[in-house]
Amino acid sequence: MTTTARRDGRVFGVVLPLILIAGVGAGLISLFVGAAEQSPAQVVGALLDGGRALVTGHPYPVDTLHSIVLNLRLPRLLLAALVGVCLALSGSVMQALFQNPMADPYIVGVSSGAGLGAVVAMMLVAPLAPLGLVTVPALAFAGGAAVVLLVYILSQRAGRVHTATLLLTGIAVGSLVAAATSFLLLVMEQDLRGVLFWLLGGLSGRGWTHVAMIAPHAVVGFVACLVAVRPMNLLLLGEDTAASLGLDVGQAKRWLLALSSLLAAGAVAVGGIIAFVGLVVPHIARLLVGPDHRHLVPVAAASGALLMILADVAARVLVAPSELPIGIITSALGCPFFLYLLRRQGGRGL
Amino acid sequence: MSPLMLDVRGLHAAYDGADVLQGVDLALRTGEMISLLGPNGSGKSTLLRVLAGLLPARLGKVQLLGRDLRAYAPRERARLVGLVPQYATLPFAFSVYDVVAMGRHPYVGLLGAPGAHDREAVGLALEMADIAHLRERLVTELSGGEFQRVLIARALAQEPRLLLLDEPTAHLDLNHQVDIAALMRRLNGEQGLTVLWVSHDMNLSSEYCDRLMMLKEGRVIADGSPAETVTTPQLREVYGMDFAVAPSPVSGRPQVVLSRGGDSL
Repeated sequence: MTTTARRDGRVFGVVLPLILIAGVGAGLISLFVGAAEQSPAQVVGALLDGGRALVTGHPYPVDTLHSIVLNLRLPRLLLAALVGVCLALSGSVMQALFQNPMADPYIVGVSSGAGLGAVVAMMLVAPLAPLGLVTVPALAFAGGAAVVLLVYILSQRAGRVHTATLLLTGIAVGSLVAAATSFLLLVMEQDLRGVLFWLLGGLSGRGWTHVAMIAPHAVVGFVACLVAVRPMNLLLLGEDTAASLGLDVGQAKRWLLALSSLLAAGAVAVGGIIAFVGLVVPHIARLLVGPDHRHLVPVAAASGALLMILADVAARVLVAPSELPIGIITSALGCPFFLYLLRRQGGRGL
Repeated sequence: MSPLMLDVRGLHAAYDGADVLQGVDLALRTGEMISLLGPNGSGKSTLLRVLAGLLPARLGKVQLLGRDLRAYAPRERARLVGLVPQYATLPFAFSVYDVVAMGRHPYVGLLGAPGAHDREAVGLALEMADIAHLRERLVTELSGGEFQRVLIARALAQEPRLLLLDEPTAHLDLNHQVDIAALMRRLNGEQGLTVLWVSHDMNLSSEYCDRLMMLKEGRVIADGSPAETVTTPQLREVYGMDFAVAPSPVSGRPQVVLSRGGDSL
């Protein structure tokens, strides 16, 4: 188009492949690193066996190596990447919806609802029991979605939802739900460490079940975000302008809220409440390729995956053989980076 | 007589129950340029929002080119009516070109790709607003006057027949106020665009528009040429204060001359 569009396009054309390559590199590191000592060659061999098994149907050898690589590390890697994709996209959509670069995926109460859902589930079944593997994510997802729906209904006035009302209602309802969660934690008889680990966000003890749960969110969500790039760009101009350009703003906001919430709830259901990724990654992506969602959506998705893979490696390595909740890593890295962005950008806009 | 661009009769419009507009009539012919004046809260911006399709009429009729405004699909309406909203900063660092290109949404839609004519229309809009040289700049780096031109160019990229502007000269330096008013006049004269301009500035309106309409408490108080509307009795009715009016030494059009507390009358 113009030179600007071409320049942005060129940056995008370089940045996206670089991030994807870095993501593959980080993925290999993630597969090589772990408590059990395997050589990279062994790991790659196990991966190839797994791939062959998938294609030909011949089962791969049943031993510790294959089981660790194919049933522990590989699903965990995919889970980290998919959670990163969901959180980054959810944040990008929320920021467009609120026309505010400070919005994050949890702004309308997804995290508090998911927290309550998860705690209720853990009171009913042990989180790592076979039933808990499904119950916790399912109730977390239901809790997150229910709170967003409640916030949306409470924010409606004469059929319209004002963004500021949505934000404040989200904060109010979120506090109430968090209070309910705290109360349950006090009366709960189970071990609180497990609950805390979940609330802080983490990927330990997850497997292919969880990958299967979040994969549809990530794939459908990514495609939906690509479809929504024009409405999101228009909304950044302001709701009146977007409406004057022929966008049905009310409908667009409802769809974007649903999209963002389903992405966030999907991520929280399998990974717990992982902070800062959804807030910071869209910022990084915007610094790299500008605010145009045609470029922002793919770059944010790829950056989210890369960041989460690296954070998960750090969570496993830093206090090995023990493990840190990944939410602690993302907060420890995300908060200073975000403050740096705030100070650096001053009034220059985003 | 040219056909009616807008035909508004007995318009009532409300936010949350209370009628802000209480029976407004407005017949605007194609090719006209009109300035809408009145005190804060008189309903100027509300009328503009109804005409732009952002707020539904509660009562009365609003016709655009002989057809009920509500009968238009949003994108169909956006091909006829361009809106320049009140000045607001854009916190996102889009390029000038990208913002103006968003004016093509009514033609391109959600999933379409912009074609040659879309690029042409954007280029033309940039030129008409005198900002072709800024096309690669980021909107976050522009001055107030430059950014206002970007908003106007974005509306022009819609290839509208009616241009609605909400206080396009507010918060601008004097030279930029005159620049923007002259630009609107040029678009009206050269492009045949029908222009409806909400303004606070009586003198600028008198100088650049041939028709002024004054609102007070949701009703039309005056509608006519500057000579008919910018008069001491009319201004007293609208603003509840006596103002001296004198012809401009340059154009002869009536200008409000500010003086201390009306003691010069």
